[in-house]
Amino acid sequence: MRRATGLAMARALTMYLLSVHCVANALLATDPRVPPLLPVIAIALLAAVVLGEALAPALAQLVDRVSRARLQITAWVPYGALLAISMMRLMNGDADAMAGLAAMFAALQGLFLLLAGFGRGYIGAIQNALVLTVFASLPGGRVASVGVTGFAGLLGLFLVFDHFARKLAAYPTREGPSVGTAFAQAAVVVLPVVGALALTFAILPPTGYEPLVRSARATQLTQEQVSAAYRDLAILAGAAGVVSWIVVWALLRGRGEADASPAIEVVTARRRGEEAMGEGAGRREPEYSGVRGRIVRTYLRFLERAAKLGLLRRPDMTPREFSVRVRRPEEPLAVLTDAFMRARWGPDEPAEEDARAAEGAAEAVVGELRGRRA
Amino acid sequence: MLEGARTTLYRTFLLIALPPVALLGMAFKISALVALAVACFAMLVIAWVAARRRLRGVGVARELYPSAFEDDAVIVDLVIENRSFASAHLLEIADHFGPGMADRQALIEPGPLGARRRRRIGYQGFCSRRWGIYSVGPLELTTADAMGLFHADCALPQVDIFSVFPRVYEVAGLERLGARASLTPQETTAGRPGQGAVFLGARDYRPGDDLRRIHWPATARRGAPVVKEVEVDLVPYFSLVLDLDKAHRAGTGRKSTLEYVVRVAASLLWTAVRRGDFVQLFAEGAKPLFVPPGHGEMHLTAALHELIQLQQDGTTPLMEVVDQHLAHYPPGSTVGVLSGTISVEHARLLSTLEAFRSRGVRPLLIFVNSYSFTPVDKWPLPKAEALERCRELEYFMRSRGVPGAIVGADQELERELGRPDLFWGMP
Repeated sequence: MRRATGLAMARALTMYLLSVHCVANALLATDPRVPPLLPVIAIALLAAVVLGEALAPALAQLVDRVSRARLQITAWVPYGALLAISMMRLMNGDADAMAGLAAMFAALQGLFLLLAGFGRGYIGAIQNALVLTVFASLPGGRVASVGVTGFAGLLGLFLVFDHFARKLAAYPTREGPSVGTAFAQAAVVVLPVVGALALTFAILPPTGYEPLVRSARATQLTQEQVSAAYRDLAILAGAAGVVSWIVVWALLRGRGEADASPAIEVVTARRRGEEAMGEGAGRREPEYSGVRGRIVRTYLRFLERAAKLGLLRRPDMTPREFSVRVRRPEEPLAVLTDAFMRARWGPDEPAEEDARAAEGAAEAVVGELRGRRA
Repeated sequence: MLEGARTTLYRTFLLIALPPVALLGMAFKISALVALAVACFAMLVIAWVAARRRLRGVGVARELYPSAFEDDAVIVDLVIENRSFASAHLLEIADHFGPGMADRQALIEPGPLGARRRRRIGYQGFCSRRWGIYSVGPLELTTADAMGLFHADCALPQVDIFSVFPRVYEVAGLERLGARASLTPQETTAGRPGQGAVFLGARDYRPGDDLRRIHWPATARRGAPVVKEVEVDLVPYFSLVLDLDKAHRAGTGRKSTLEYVVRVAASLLWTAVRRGDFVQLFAEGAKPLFVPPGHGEMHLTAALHELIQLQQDGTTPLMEVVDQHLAHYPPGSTVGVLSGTISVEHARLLSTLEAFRSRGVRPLLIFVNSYSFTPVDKWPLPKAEALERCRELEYFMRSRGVPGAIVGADQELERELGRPDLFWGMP
């Protein structure tokens, strides 16, 4: 199996979980009659994700790019109008209207998942998920904290899987980072944010929109009901996730590799084994103390900055050869190179003035390089 | 791949959507919304910082053999070094392989590339463009943060020069010219005393003769010392003189006199070097060209490299160039004279052939019929007249037993040069 396929499956699964999470929280926040309907919602969203993946290639070929853009813009107009209506109703604090609107956006989430191949990936679904999260945060309390924290975490996870899957799918490669590696990368970004959010909500429970809370107080779910709903939802989403993983795998395994555009030729990278870098790989860099070390570090820093500005020193280049390559400004370059060579290989300890001269020269050369690049 | 798949759509969406969410939260005092906006903004900041750090310590260098023939597949090696202390993922590299048709070659090192490790990857480029000097590079290295929200790229100004040589064809008739092949493919012998391996005869010993060459049975029979004589070694030698007179320019692109002169010259040099000849090359364009005698693959590469830089911008007539370098043609060698036209003075040509004969040099005359190409800066010659000139030239060469050939725009070089009967008057 191509790595890209595995990552695409993980992406679809994450999108499914994000959708279920946002829809369930929005409905739990606005409509107390929802808990019994959660299995239906989970299954409907699973069907939408699976069908969306199945229809994606056909939808992408349906119309040309310009017509598709026109259709997308046309579709955003009623969506924007719906958002504006929701905002006005929200300002009135109308709880019944909020429940109806949340249900409408929940239905739209399924539609966005279904038409993912027609638009620009899952951007519509993510936008709608954000709107649903806004609905979830309206009453405050546990639903709001779970809704917001879950949205942030699942969004981060989705973005990582999406990025990895897209990059690998764009190239004819069978190798690459696994789902586990992508997950670990996501954890580095997502965990601190999710942890901070959870901690914040634990210390300062989220407050809801006061007029709405007041009008809906009588009809709100109890804490026990919310907990039971989440438990049911977790079991359902888990089971549905396994199903979606299997079905999406079956759908994606037959898909071909990336097409090459005429202007950019996507070529197969012939990968060879990884090797340690030189003799010093894995060992600590030699340490230079005193003024000698200051000059050596100045030169190394100069090399790093030069590399960023497009002048990379090849490993086989001597300092003199590198200065020939940099060329200008001649005088500061000569001062810096000489100072480095004396500090690195010379028998005498350099003076403080030498270090200052080397630092000044390094600044002058980098300044010139920046100017040249601009 | 690079620009194409670089979706910053999600970033744009978050940057547009988060401020209204934060404002909504603040306006309606919904703390969860404010927290959501802050959290997502924090993720954006983390992604931005991560993207900037991803390329730190990562470098790419190209390793490439600097020449190939037209239509050859070339492996370009890229060495990716990760000097940082974190492993690198999804490094996209774009390279510009000048001899190929595509603007850029894009490939990915999916990683993970461990800290302080290097990996060698390569791609295959095709020399789809015609012969000439091309550049390969610059390299562009691109990566992004884990979520793909922010990208970092680095242009590495490593530009290599790459020579594409014209496609060469074995010149079938050439093998019958020049020195005769001996036991080894690079050496032939001449029938005069020397240091070769072929036995020539025996003679009386003269003071100074090597004692190891004494023929002991003959010495015993004669009662006086007799030494063996062997033939002298003769290296097969091929000199080529090209016509770069700008007066003979005709045609454009692949159907031009320059194209035919360069392609025929390349094929002659290739064939000569392949059979083990020493080859040298002379031409007088705006700058004089002299490739000194040498043999082997490296010498051929150097000669071809000079050849592909030639322009038809000279003013010196070909026969003058041939005469100028007369001293450089060793006796017994073959001199190929490649003219860009069939309009040659027969008297002048005759005097050059006489000079060759007096030096014991074998001539090989090849004429590119410039009148068969689209004229660039002169009126076309009537077809009948051009045909008449070809016939005259052919008669001239046949009557003097000079091997030669005329090639024109309507002839496919691959087929023509491979014909065993290409040259008239072959020995």
